[in-house]
Amino acid sequence: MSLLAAPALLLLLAIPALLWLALHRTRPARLEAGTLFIWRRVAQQAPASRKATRRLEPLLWLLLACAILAGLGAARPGVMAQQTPRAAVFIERIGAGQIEPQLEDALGRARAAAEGAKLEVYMAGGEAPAQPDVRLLAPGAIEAQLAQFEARTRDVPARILLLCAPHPTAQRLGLVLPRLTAQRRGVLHDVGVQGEQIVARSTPGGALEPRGLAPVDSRAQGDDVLTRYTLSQPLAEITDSHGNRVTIRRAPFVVGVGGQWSSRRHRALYAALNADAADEDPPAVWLGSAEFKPALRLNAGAAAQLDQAEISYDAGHALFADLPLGGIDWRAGNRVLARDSGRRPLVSASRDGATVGDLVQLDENDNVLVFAADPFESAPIAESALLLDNAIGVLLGQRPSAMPRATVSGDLPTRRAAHAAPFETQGQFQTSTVASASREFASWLLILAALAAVAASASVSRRPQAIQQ
Amino acid sequence: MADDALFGPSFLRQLEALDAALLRLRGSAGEGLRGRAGTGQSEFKGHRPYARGDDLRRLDWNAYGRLGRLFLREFEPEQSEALTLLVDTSKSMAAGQPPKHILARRAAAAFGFLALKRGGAAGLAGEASVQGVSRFSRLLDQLTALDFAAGAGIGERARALASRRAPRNLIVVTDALEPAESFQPLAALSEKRCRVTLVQVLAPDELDPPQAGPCELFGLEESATLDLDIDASTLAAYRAEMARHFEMLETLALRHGWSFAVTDSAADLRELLLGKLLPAGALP
Repeated sequence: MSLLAAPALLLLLAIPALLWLALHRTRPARLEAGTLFIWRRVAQQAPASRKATRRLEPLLWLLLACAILAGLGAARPGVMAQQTPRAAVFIERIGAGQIEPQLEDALGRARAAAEGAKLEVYMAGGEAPAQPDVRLLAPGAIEAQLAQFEARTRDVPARILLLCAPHPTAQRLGLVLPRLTAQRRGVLHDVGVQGEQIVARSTPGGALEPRGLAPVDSRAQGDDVLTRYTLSQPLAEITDSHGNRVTIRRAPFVVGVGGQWSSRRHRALYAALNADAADEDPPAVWLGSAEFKPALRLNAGAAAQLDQAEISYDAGHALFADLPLGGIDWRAGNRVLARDSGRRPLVSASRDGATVGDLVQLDENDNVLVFAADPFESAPIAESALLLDNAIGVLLGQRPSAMPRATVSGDLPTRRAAHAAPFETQGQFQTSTVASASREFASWLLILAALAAVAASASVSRRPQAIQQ
Repeated sequence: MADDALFGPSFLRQLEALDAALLRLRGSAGEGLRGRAGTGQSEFKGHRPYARGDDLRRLDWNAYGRLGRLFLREFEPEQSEALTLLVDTSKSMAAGQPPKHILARRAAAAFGFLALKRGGAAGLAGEASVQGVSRFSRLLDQLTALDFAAGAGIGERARALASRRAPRNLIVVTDALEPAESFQPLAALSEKRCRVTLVQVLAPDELDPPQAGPCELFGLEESATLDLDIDASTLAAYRAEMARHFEMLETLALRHGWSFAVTDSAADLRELLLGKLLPAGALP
């Protein structure tokens, strides 16, 4: 306890003055009596209790309390406290989800750098790692994280940043330390699906542990190692040596087959799709069906002589993407579709400038691709397969060849986090922020003094009345 | 010289009015001291012929039977029937609001006036008696000259009276705030056939003192102080002591045949005389 304005204690000098006035005021009144004859008899009965004594009135007590409280309050008593300096610490994550490796090590280095300051720890992510007192920032690019950190720590005098790699913005904010003291090896940071292939990206030097996957190949690509797998089981997973793990689940691709899709060529093309015929899910597309949608319908045209007819295409349409058009004889089958305003012609035949009919139409409302004949049967097998891939792509929006045949779930560190490596310390820690503060009681004392003053003003002092005898 | 403030014309008019009222209350005039209970000790002076308006009760019927004419008996008051006024001149009589000595002197003057009006004599104890209403001013001079600064108490003054020829009628006006033994000389006078009337005059604050709290009481009589906390319990004790003192005085009065009345110094003189002393048979 100390006094911030000790000279104000001089106000307490009012107390002896107040006491002197009170004692002077409370001196027994001198009253005249004709004779003490009766009074002496009264005094002899109970002299102790009837002796005149000086009684201090409540008003005096209240005024004394007011003076003492006001004097003490004006002196500003308080408990001086050495306030612990604050420092904000940003830890760039190297883990994912609730996994954050080497967090205690990072906090320890931050504490050591903070020179005893009280730390406020900030990390980005949707969920905090198992560490209390961590304040979350919205996940995003490192620039966005640093911007959030700067905004939320404007009132914090010092900052420490533990980053996976140096960043020009970070030096301006405070002391920049490396997130890791040694680079990690074999950190899985990305798993993608390309058709039926699972592509895993990791840092060099460590082995991944696949389960339910068959490795295809592995090669270096820049700083990463790309490893390709194919699913050997409906459910698979890849784990690295740092606890990062993803789960890979086969995505079903069900294709229905109608009565028009029945030739050997058709069956071979269906097999090439590698569809999941036994899956309980409804088919994503129907081949050669006149009933169901979306569907490819075959041989829907009427007979027509197409010799010497000119073939025109909607060349920019997805049906013809990467397709060697010369390999397909659209005239084969000699069937044409009548022009229909509700269908978009994709391949048409004309002769001498006059339209003979359409060879392929797209009913965009019903999501049906109608073929006048059966080009899959007549074209070479390779072109037929490409045409089928494109045709299904037109109906589903994505070609089966590019369609991911698996889904990946699980959190992985970013590539920046995976490649985190030690670097030279940058920036500086602002150590001139240690401040002292006190907890003052002046306001409470002054409030009590005011209450005493109010009570004093409310009290009524009564002076003895004079006796005239 | 009489004090005009004390015994001014208004006071004299008040006394005349009192006399008239007293006569009305008694039904006749001129009965003099003989009208007082227990008296009738006047000395026969002689006869004179009856004139219209004379008091028929003074007719001498024996003389009428023998002489056949109406004669009126005349009496001369004895010296022993003179009214002796003893006013307490102790310092305590100066206390009170109004001071007790004012009513004490006025009451004594009223007693003297009524005595003189009835043909009697009146005088302060130790002073020469005066006779005749025309000499009333001398009595007032004596009362004016009383010194309440260094006077003696009632007991001492009564003792001095008892040592001489005892007066027949003694009016004592005092605050009577003295112990019982102070009244022994009065008792001695009573045994000498002196009729005593004791009028106790007290200040209002002596009868009902206020709750003054802690105070230093200064006694005028004793020239001493007494520290006392006059709170409710003290006042209760005071009232109990006063009641005991009154009881003692009443016992003495009853035992020795005194007329006794208590009044406060702020009381009206007429009320004192007609309301308290007349019923007690104490008035001339």
